[in-house]
Amino acid sequence: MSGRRVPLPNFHGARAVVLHRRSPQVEPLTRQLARIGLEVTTVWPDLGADQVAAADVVFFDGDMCCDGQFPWPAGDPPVPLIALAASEAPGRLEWMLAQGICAHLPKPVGTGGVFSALVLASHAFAQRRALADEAADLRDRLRRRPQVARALMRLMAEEGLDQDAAYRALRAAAMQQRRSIEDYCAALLVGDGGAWEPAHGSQAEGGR
Amino acid sequence: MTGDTRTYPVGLLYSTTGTYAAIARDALDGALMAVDEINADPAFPFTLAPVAADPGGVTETYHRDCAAMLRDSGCRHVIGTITSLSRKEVLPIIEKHDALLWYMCPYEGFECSESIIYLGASPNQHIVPLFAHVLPRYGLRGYLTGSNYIWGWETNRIARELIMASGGEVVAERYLPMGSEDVDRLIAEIRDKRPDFVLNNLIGPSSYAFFRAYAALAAADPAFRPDRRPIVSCNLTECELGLVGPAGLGHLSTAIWFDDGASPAAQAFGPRARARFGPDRRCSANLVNAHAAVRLLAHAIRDGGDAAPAAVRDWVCSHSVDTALGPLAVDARTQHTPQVPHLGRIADGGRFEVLARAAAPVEPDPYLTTLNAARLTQPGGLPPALRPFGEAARPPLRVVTP
Repeated sequence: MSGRRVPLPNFHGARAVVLHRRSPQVEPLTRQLARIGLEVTTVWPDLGADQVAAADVVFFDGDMCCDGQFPWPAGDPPVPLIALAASEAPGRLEWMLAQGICAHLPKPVGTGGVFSALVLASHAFAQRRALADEAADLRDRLRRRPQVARALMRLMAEEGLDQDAAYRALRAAAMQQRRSIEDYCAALLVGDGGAWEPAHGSQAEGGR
Repeated sequence: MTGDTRTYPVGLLYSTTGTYAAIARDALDGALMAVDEINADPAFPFTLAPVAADPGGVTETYHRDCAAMLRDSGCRHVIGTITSLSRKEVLPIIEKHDALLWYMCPYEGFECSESIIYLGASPNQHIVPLFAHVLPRYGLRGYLTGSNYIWGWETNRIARELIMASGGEVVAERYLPMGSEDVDRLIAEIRDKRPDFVLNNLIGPSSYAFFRAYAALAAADPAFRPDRRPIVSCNLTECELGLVGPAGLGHLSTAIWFDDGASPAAQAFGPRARARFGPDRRCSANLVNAHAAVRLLAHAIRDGGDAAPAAVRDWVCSHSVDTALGPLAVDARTQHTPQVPHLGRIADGGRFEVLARAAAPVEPDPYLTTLNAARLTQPGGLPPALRPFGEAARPPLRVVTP
């Protein structure tokens, strides 16, 4: 990831929910979040789905929180999740990881480290989302590979092309229609890809 | 330092009311007994002034009470806290004041603060030796239960690791909210699944209710008698046997001390304790270890010549002090303490029959760095220190389901 620029972090107006009972161990967190520009809501032990929907980041008590306390599918938080924990016991660490945390602040939480945790968590969350989207896209394309193969075979048979030439033709036609090759092949197979119209130009050398 | 006639305030932070009051009252008794002994002993010319507070078992009040000891009463040393939650709650203010916390309960490990002297057992001194004894003898199918906080979660996690590494099965892992006596579903599940043993990490009234309900189950079905399917605990001591009642008879627990007067140090301690608390009092590891904490502190102040927390810490990490537990020397690397694991079976009269005791103190290993869980049930598989109760009488039971 070297060289990739991280946008200048600005959390002004962002909304944080802190899921923790009132404790001197986390009091500086609330003040520091306010200084950084966030609006803070503190709740314990019940975290409502509406509160999460209105939040940009959720902090939670890594020592006390347990299964069933988060109003989202286990391990898939809709916002960056930051653990506040005094315990380093492996079972707790395992549980926090399973929740999909993006950052961690040791208790007692001071003023230092809060901004870094927000930046790291936002970055990690965006990166995770991007990777998840990419993985979903790749899985989808993998799932539709048989359609591409069928389209390829049809084209080879109908046009008398070899495998490489047929593939180049399909790719060029998809590009020309600004569709993915999977979308193009799916449409072609249901007769919705327009008539077979090979693209022009050098990469479409297999065309009619 | 024979001329040191100063008075040193010492904080005693124990919740003598609330869920785990029985343990805290024993700890406070032990600490106050040691304070009185030190103050009456001309060999200790200074005076220890106990400053006690009762946070009532409410996590949020620990910080306030500890802060008052440090700020208002001038304490530099605080002996106290029972649960890990309360220990972690006061640790920040202890550190902020450069004070020293003396913690003497068994706990789940994975912590090393330079501001704490850990006198209680960590997992390699409680659950590991207990399981090295229990798994080969009763079987590898365990039912894990506990109160819903870190002691139960973490001790059960280690238990699960030990069971799985031994090729066994965790038939269920169930938690009750702290203070809950709603044990019926646990008992029904145990009756249904028939585990080889039950690991009990419940605390206070939950634990007492569980023992009573399990005894009722055993009365109806002898397969659940303690000699067949015992309840095993890592934190059950004499001070709670009265609350458990006859339902506890025959079940197992491990601790760094049981009051059977077997060692010379215990024989010296017993009459003093009974003179103070009455002839029927059985002293728990909590009482004796809190007593030991005060003695370590007093010796450090006198023999080290400095009551400052850093100086006291250095002194107790490099010297041995005679206590009811025998000579105690805190390990300088971890600030935890070598202790002698005991295995006890609940007998009548509010006491434990000691089935086994380690031949020597087991070095503390709070991060379980030396444990190879897979070797727990193999004959000769564990170093003797982790199998202080000896080898299994018979090879591990394998449960074969047709």
